[in-house]
Amino acid sequence: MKFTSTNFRNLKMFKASVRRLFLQSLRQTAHFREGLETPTGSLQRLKFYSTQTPVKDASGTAVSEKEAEETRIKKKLPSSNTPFIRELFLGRFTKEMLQFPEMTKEELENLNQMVQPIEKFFNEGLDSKSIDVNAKIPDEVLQSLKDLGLFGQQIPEEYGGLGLNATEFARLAEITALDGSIAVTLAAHQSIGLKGILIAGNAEQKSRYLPKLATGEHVAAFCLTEPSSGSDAASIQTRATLSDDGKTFLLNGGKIWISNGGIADIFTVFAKTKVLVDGVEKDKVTAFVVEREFGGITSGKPEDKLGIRGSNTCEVHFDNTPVPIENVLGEVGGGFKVAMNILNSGRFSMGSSGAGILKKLIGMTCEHAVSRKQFGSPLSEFGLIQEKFAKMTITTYAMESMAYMTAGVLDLYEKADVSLEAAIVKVFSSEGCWTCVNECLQILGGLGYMKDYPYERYLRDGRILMIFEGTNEILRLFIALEGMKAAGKELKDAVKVARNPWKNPSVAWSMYKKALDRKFRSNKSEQGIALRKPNNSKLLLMDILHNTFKNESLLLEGCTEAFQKVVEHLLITHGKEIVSAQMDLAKVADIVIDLYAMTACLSRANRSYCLGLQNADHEITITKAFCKDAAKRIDRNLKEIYSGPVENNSENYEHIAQTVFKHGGYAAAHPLDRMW
Amino acid sequence: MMQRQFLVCIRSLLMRDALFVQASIDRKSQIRKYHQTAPTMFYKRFMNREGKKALKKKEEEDSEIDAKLVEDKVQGLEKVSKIPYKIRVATYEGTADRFLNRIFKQVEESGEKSEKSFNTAIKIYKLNAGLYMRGHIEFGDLALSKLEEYELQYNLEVYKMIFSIFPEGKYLPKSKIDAEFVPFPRQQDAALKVLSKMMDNGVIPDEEFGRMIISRFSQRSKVFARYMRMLYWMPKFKYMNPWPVPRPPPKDPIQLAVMALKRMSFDIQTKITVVNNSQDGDSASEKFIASAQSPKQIDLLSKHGPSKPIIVEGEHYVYLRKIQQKVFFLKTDPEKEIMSDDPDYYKAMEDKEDEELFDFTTPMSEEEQTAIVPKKSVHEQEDGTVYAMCITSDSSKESIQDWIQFLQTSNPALQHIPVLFRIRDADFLLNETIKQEEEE
Repeated sequence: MKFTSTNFRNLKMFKASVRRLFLQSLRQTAHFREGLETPTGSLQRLKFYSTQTPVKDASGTAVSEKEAEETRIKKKLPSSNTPFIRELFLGRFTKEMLQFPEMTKEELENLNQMVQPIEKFFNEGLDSKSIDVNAKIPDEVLQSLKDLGLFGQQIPEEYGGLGLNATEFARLAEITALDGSIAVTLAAHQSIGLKGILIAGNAEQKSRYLPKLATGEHVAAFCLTEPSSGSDAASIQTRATLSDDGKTFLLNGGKIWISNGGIADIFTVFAKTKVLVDGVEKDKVTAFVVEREFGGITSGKPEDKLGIRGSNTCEVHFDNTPVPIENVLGEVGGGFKVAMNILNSGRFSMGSSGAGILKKLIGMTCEHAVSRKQFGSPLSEFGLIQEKFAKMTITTYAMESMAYMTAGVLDLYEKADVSLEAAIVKVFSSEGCWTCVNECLQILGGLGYMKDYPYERYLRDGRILMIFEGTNEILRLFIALEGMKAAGKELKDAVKVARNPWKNPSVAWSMYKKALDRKFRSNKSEQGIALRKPNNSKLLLMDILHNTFKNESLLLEGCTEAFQKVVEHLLITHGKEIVSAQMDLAKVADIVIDLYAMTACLSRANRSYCLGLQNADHEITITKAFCKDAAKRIDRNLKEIYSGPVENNSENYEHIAQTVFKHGGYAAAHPLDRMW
Repeated sequence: MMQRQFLVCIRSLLMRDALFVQASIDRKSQIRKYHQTAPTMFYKRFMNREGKKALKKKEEEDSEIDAKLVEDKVQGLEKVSKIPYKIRVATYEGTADRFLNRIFKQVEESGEKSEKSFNTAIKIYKLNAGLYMRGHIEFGDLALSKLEEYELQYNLEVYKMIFSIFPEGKYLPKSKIDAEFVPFPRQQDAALKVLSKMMDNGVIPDEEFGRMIISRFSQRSKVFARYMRMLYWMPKFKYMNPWPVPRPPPKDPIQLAVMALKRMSFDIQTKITVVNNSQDGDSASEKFIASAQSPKQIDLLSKHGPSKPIIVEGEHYVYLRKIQQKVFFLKTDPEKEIMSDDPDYYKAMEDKEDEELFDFTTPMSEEEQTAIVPKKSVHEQEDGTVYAMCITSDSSKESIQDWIQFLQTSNPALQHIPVLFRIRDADFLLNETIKQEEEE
């Protein structure tokens, strides 16, 4: 930071700046939080980077103290977090999120030791091309994966698994993602297949199934999708009827597109059962653990797919499969919650998987860009190529930050509520992955299109990310609607008043003035609604962040404020019809995704810079660039929401789509058609 | 110098005068030409002056000459020669109309009414009419009136054929000013009649038609203005109707019924089934039932309890251009009569809405989610839910009963639901009203 006293004409300003610098330097050193009374009490529970000074480590007693503290933290995890995204809809920013979660030194060392052999195996011992061409993972490969313990990553150590927490799991997912087929096989096995037993299973079920699943002796699969129900999981048709003696359920029905369906021995199956609710018989979803040995299970032939060809996907049919009543997961009739919990808990790792793929691809493409010469100069000197690389890097960085931040929050609490955050990570990373791999192929040119090179395989494999585990569309709705619901409940009375202008003329008048103000201000200023930096910062985000990010913290604050206003605006304009304003909801979801990504990037870059990690200045540039981009996107989305369905084109989209449906396809006349 | 300039001025003035004179001479000669070529007006006036007796002699002479001429010329024409005809051309018969009528009569005698014979008629006229194209306005009118008879009213080529009887280059205005005063008004009117007929029948003229008009009446004529307007507006309206009825509309009643039902069913998935009673292919005397029902309607019908009766309502009318058909609906009575002046009804609704504001559950958090709910289908209307509709060949009560029986095959639930017939017979009603009026 450059400054001279000559820059400050008046003494007051000079004093203020000196004070600011002083505070800033304090913040970066050890004693700020401890010495001063902490202004935010909520920050106490978090590990603070600046407290990890070597001063304490020097003495042995300090280390033992630290250990004791750690064990205390481990034993008594706080029960639940304040849900960041839900709060954001109300304009409240949970500042704890700006402290990027950290692992302890030992944990990290353990993890790195674990990672090394796996990384070696994936980089050297794997022929991904033959897996893709033959559409089968060879048994030796599967065996070595089992030997590495990858089939029981999240299973507790007492059952023979690795007992990884979310962060460690995300780190491994980064490596396993290098081969799409293996990643999906593993994910189907443990992220969804056996997760039901982990989350909702009782002790007996756990001890019965988990040991064999952990070693990979048994492979698990997750059976939810049916021909008639994809995203709408509650509409499944498979039935489970209780036998007369009340001891077994009989399963009947068919499931499609089941990953590992052909090779699995244990299935987590969802079926409708009759349940008495308040004296009325109702069909409700129940989850079962079904072994192949129970009989009556047939799997179809493996499906031929675009990507992830090595993974086994097929139909699974249940024909009067007897399932003992002990094998019900959770309660009878409580299967839907189980299914959603499983899916919610598995999503966050997609961020790190995507980042893993992209980091490798960026490396490979970088080599090409440096070595390939056109018009006498390497591709890396062309501005257009540089732009592509920068954008890819930014996206990857954001993806990674979000994924690890979410995983960190998951680890910090006993029952962490990160369903919205996980959905955000999934949406952002799956789409980012697709666009970035696409850009990589563009940089590689013809090379990227050839089957001899691995690039096109990554493109094909990456396409599935946007489709499975909840399509991005339904996830966007989920994010926006859940947030809107939280906001709506709190603002209910205010919304009621605002929606009835004739009864409340004073409110209507002030709203009208606000709308006018917004309109003229947005017209006058070059900067948009969101980009406006608040004059007096209410949230004081820059108190937590390094002074380098002063600008960005103000941006984030402005965006948060504007976002809260737009949520209010939408609630007032749509009322209960908000559920059907899907195009607006998607924009809201996009804004939230950007806000979360900004927060994650800022907190990570802040940590890196304060600690002085390698290439921390690079991270700062990335973060600044990302914040700028995100703020622009947010601004555009805000403007579109405010401008209403006519201006933002959503009405047109509706009409066009309706015409297409009416005509059963593309309805415009051929350009060569003549009238006379 | 001055002198020279003065001379030049005078010369130029003189020259202009000379040009003027030349122009006036030109015009006079052309006017003379107009009298020579002006067809029927001149001809009629001439007839009145001469008297009938004098005409008879001339008629015989003319007819002999003309007939020979025609036969010689026609033999060269391939298309025309196929039709045997003998024309006793009586050019100066009592009126021109009779002469023209005869052409069509003769053509019709020798063959069927088709585009080919129509063209032959026009060719015969052209060959007969001689140098001055006598009676071509009358012939144009006649040909236009015959179009429906020949079923050629939607054929652009035929219109061109008719239009070609106007002689080229004869009716052009002499100048811009002349054009403003509409020269040859009768001829232009006759040409406009052709265009009007085209417009009525939705036939859009093409570029060639425009060229024909320019060569006959020029760009500054009323005819061309009409042509331009037609070219501007008609294409805009051609596909205006989202359920177009083809030109000419089909004669098959089954096709017509299917078309009408398609137009009325807003549900894209609606299936239209036709039940045929007779085996032989004679479509006119065929008895049929065309029934329209969508899967959604079947679903709704299956949910209809057996306690409430279903009503067959009819007959309602549906029109395809000028063709009227009678439709019957299978529907329910309105569930609840909404009293618009009942304030409590709306207040209760509002209160309920207020209470439930933002109480929805999202698809990924609750099993019975309320965020994404299906909209009310088009079949569920305020005045009742429509389950099916049909058009039968004779709209008789028996045929409607047959229809209900047919519906029972695809809707088993219908067997247990009482069906009421609320059919108003149009003929019966008409008779009633006539009786009432008579009594009064």
